[in-house]
Amino acid sequence: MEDVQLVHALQTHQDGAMEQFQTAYTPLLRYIIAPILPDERDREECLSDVLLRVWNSIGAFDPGKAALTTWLTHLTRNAALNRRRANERRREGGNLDETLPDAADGPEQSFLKGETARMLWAAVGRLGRRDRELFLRKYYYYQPTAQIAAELGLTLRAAEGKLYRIRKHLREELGGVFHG
Amino acid sequence: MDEFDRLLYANSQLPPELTQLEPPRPWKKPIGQICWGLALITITLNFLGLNIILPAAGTVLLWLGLRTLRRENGGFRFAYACAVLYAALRLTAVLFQATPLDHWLASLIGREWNTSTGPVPLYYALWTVLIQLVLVLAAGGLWQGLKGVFIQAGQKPRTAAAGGLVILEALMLPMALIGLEGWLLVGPILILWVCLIMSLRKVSRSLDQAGYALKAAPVRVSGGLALWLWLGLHLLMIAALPLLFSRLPTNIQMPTPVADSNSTIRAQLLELGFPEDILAGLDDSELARFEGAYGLKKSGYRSKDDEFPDGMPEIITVEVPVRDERYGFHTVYLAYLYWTPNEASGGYMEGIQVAQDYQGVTVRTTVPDGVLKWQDRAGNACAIPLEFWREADSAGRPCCYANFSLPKDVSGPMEGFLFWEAMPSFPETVSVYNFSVTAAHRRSFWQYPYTLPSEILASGFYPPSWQWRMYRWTSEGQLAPEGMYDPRKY
Repeated sequence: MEDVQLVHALQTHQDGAMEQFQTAYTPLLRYIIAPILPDERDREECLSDVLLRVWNSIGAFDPGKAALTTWLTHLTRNAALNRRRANERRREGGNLDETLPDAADGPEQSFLKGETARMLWAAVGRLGRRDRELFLRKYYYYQPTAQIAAELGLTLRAAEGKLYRIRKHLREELGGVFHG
Repeated sequence: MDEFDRLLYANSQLPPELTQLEPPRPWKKPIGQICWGLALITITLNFLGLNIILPAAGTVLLWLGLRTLRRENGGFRFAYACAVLYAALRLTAVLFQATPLDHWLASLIGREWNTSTGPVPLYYALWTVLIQLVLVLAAGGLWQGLKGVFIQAGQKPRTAAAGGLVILEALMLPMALIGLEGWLLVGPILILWVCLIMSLRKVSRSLDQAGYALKAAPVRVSGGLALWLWLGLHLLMIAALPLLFSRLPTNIQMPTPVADSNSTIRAQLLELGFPEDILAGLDDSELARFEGAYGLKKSGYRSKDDEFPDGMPEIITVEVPVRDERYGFHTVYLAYLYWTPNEASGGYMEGIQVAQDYQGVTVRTTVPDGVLKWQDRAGNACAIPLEFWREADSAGRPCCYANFSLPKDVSGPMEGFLFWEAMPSFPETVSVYNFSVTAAHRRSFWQYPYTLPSEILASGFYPPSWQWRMYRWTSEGQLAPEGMYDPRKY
């Protein structure tokens, strides 16, 4: 079944649509979740959570705005990150992962963060196709460098070198924004 | 992780526009490499060296694509092993073609394979079968590997394109062996093949859904580096190896001078009009061939030293009928080759083709005996025997060939003497006996694939190029018994 038909079937809650969706897209969802959540049980729970979210929010999906896979990866990645963040918070006496944002941002801080992120994404958008893919894999999908290297046919050293150059380029382009 | 890294992670958590997001597609690159690899291997463009560069690039792309996938399942592992073997065979083929090894193996096997376009050495046919068979097996492994991924994901395999490719690649095997050519046949197959490759390319999209459990294998050499190293290795082999084999080995002999005991034959031949300077170069055993001579016809022309194009000898032929107890008579032919002092030494490769009786008059001829004679810088008389062998040319004419290189230590001109005999089938009548002597001179120090002058001569007569130059002397002769021989006839 094509994506358009599948989305329509899901949106109209047709019988068997969810099973078909699961067969077709569960490997993709697992692939997105895996690098973010190291624990297998967390991954399974997150997958169930994502499937439920898809069922509930598929009505909001607009095929004109993005491809189904793009929407799904975005949804899955956010769900996995939320779970990871929650796990960190639950961990008694544990340190918060420094890479995770502080949930208690005030309105001004949120605005500034939003502005910074907008500038970052604008700079990422100006990267070449391959560099953009590397950046997204590393900083958006949280993939380990070894996985990125293997999937792109690069040595670990070459992948690290490329990521270093991307970071350097972004640092130069964004300048004071990220130093402030 | 430094401060900037943390900021990147933190800020990339804020959702960008969905249009900016590209889901990772781990299958896209390896499948793309495999498709490009198969395309570059299969489609051959015979100009600007693309027939070498493109398959070399295709081979490494096929290998790179399967290298990433080799941990996924057994099918891919098998295909990867085949791709490695295929790459090794391709490189070996380049190595063999850059050196005389190809010729040596072809002559070792010896037999021929008949295709619709003519016979080819069996060795080449076997080599074609081996290489194509490994490619078919690689495509088969790829097909099974893809199938395995879909089945593992619980999805219906969408691998018809890969299966079709296996069949088509397998079909190319008998096509190559039979030698099928022509756009009427190849055109539709090519179109079908392109459609299959494009369909296979699209399979990566289906795999992105089915196979995100991809277990990409870590690599020690980046794909780009591997590609350039591979192409560089090819370039090095093609550029450097032929330089080591630009000349043929020379078997220089120092004949011991003997007293002239054939002065009678010498005087007789001079009386018949034998060119004096050529006669002076013949030793006793060579003169003995002309015993019982009763006629003579010479042809060819003399040129000034600076008139002949580079590397070319002038060719003069002498026809001498002699009495023969067994046949009544037979005719001795001498082709005299003369390289001016400027052209007499060094160079790369020379070849001589003697095409006998090419108009089909029935006679029996011998394979020529040949010798090169010159003086080295120390004034010693030197000689190289020329080894002729009989082989049909591309038009099916029986010809005799010899390959050699001119020696480097030469003082003065170089002379070549080729002798052969023609025996009449009907000694009581006059027969026409036409023949040609063609000299080929290799002008370039580099040539790929390694080609002998005899191969160029057998394939046809060509105008001068930067690599080869040819010169042909054609003569009309006659086989006539004593009393009926007239050198002015024909």
